[in-house]
Amino acid sequence: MLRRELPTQGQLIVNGRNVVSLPPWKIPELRRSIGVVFQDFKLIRRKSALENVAYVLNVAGVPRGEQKRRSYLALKGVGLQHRLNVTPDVLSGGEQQRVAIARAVVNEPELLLADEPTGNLDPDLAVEIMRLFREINARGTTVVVATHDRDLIRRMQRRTIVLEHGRLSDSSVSA
Amino acid sequence: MSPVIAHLRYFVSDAVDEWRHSPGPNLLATATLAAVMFVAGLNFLILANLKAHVGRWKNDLRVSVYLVDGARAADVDALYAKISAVPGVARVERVDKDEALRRFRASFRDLADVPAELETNPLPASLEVVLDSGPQARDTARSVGEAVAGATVVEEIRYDQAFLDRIDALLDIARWGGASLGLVVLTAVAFVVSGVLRLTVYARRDEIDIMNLVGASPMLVRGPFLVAGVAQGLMGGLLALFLVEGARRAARGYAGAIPGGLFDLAAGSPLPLGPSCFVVFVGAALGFVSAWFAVREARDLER
Repeated sequence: MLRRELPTQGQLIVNGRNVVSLPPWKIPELRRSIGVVFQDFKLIRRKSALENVAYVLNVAGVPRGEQKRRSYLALKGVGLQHRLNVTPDVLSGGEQQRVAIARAVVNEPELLLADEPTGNLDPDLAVEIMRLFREINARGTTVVVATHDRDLIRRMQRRTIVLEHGRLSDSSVSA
Repeated sequence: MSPVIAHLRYFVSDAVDEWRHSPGPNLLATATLAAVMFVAGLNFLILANLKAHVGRWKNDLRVSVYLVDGARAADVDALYAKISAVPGVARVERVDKDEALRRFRASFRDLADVPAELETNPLPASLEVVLDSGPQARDTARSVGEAVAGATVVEEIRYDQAFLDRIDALLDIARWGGASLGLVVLTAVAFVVSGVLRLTVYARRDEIDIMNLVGASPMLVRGPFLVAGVAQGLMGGLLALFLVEGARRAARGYAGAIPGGLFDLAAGSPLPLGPSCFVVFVGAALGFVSAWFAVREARDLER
């Protein structure tokens, strides 16, 4: 969905855009419209939590003052307003993932993609992270979570799409 | 603040940050650039000094009008008056045969005894024509030549214009030859420095990957590296200037031991402003080109 890899056949439509036929110079724009959370957090080690979040806004050309304000609010949204100036090395796994979530939502994307976001976290933290995703979804952002944790999926009670060997095997909506 | 200024500000702050986090490769790149620009600066220093000397010599031309032996005094006086009347002639000095011998002995001490071994003084009397200093001296010398042409008392007329023109031409050849060779060397150095800078790119490959994932444009990813390259080039160029001047001053202490006033000829004056700016500019350009080669590698990290 981020155009890191191309499908061998077919189309890949994201927010009405066929990602497969996207010209290379449009890829950054596509990626800016999607918030992404990774299993390994992918935070810039030498930047503080606030700078990591602000980087997405910097990329989008948001003025510096506005970057700081929105980054602070995003970090406050994930409960890290007291950890603004520390680098990822000092943060726990759960805190790093929350910084990554703040970074993913700070630009108010239409789509939030989370790739195994709880894979490196203990069960309690995993629930906490999923709760954050629910809040984000409630604010109008489509959240797509890729995970192998079936128990977590059951507890979330949301639409579930099951892929087996690269093929759609089940799609259900939990109430 | 305009987006361009904002981006430039980000490039600079990120480049500074990069210096702080990995000073080793950055210092190595700066030192390499400084070493190359130092050699280029020395070359410019010597050429600029030689060129300035030749220019001064060309502006301070003297014309020697050699007289035939036994020339009548009245004819010589007439010639003297004719030459003195040429516009641009400052003064005319009479050099008789004895004075010519004295000057020869003073100039060529090893050969001082040679005229004594001959039965007669072989050196001719002459009129030494001193011209007004300046770029018009070349034309004045030509006018003096035309004024004395055909005079029966004149054996030979000689001035150093042609010789100085040849030196000037040689200096031009040395300059252009040096520039061509320099271009080849600078290209090679660009590859060497880009190899060093590539280390910094690879050290930040995870970061570059993250930048790409959050939608940074290629320019935003590469910008800090390019700014760092320019900064390294500027610092290398400035450092080279300090080293050139330091080397010149250090060598001045040994100027007395260098024969023929060679030191004054090659490095008597500091590097002029124009070549100094050129050294810094070329350093910056070289840093930019090196960084550009290095960040091309970053394309492999973009997916």
